[in-house]
Amino acid sequence: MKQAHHFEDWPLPIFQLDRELTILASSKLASSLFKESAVFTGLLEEGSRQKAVEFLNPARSFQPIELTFLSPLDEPTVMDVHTKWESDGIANVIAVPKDRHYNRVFDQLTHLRKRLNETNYDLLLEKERADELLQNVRELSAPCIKLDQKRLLIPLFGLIDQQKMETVRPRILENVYRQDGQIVIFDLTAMDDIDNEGLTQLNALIQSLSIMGITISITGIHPRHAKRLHELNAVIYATFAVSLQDVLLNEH
Amino acid sequence: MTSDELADIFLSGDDYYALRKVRYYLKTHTRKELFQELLTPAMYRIGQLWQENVISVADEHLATAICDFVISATDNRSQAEKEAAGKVMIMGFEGEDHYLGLKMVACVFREHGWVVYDMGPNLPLVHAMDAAEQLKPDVIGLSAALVSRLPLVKSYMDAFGILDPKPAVLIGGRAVTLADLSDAKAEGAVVLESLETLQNWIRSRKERNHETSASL
Ligand code: B12
Repeated sequence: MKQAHHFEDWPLPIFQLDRELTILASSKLASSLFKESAVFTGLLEEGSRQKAVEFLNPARSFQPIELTFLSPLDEPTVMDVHTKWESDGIANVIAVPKDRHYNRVFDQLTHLRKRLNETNYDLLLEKERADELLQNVRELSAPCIKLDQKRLLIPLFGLIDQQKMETVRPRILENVYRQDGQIVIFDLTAMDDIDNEGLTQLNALIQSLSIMGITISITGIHPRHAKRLHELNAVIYATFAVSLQDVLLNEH
Repeated sequence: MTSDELADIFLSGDDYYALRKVRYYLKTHTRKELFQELLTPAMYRIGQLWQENVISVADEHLATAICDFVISATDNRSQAEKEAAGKVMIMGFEGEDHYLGLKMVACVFREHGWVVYDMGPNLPLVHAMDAAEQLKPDVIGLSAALVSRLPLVKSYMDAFGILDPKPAVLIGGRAVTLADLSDAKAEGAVVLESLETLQNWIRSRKERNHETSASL
């Protein structure tokens, strides 16, 4: 059988190497796929050089090995490298690209991961937007309405809980202080319910206001609120009135 | 359990067995220890086995997927956003696909009460700038496993430098332990080689912030 000395035209990157891994000859495809180098390790990505030196050795080269090559534009590609050493200390080396399907699956994996991450990110932004809206809603659940020089009306809306009270409390104190109000009227007509923490917070707010020397009235109390207020079992520094109308008439 | 044993479990592809082992480990260890002492060495071991021609890149994909699953399944998000300690945006350089380090960095920040935007690896600078302008992070964290990504550091640093407010920039990942980053440091980047040093940085920043707010 005649030996194929001229393998330039083979449809794969092929090399002849000596023991120092100097490139003695290579196929045309080898020079177009990879960077230029006189030694085989020069074609490889740094992380593969040590592996090549260890395995491209007459004592070890039975199994193919994976190595990362660099394209002329420095793009990494993993290939399977098959080697056979001849008795004269020359190695015939073939680099086989990974199956196309294999690469496609890898790319798809990467793409899927990216999608998952982006979805996470979008959800996070949505959540932030929702939190912001919720915060707005909380702030709106206790607007401060200036009735005249002295009086400030604060209707409470919906379910009042700790978070809502924590949100509106600093704003109410600020408003009362800035507008120099002397009387604050809390109107509970539109308040659905108040939980225990909300109630404690409301009472704390009332205390703070009374320390500031403010007179406080509470109106619009529904029987179920009354029960709650009673359960709180604390001194509430406020006067109670049946309806807003009563307070408004009495104060004048 | 040793990290070598865990590497073998990753390679076997048995996701729930890996998770059980890791949950057991977490009964007596912190999450930072899990990352630093167990998961990272297990993945480095995977790299070693590839060097020894025992496994292929396909096996590395599988191991990465299992490791990723374990990190996500044990992530504790309850602490996050509670303290509002700060906002951090993390990403890998363009062309970098290794992302496990990023996920760990995200977990560490979250455990310290930070809000984390994990933009994933391989984030081109234009996208990074868009996101940064929108999110206005206090800190930007960059990760590089490939040494070949490090020449990009300068362009990222220059771009982040024009952001207002200007974020602190942290650079970490396997590559920073192998190369000289003194130029980036001169531009103000903080180079951190492990989660340990990251944790110290987060803590000292917190103390600094306390001092400045106390002196106001
Ligand atoms: C798994 C793996 C892969 C997987 C990656 C899966 C994925 N999407 O993440 C796959 C198979 C896809 C892959 C692909 C490639 N890989 Co690869 N890969 C690895 C391997 C085995 C483990 C990496 C890993 O997950 N480590 C675990 C993490 C947690 O460690 P870490 O990233 O260092 O992070 C820790 C710290 O650095 C720190 N940290 C990280 N980031 C940050 C950021 C901040 C701000 C801070 C504070 C800290 C911090 O936190 C972590 C906690 O301990 C390494 C081997 C090794 N020794 O690292 C090779 C390795 C990194 N890969 C390498 C290469 C060359 C590649 C490829 C180019 C070729 C290939 N083999 O297919 C491609 C490139 C793809 C790309 N464009 O990025 C080389 C890099 C060599 C070099 N010169 O830099 C290595 C070293 C292997 C080798 N010897 O060839 N790889």
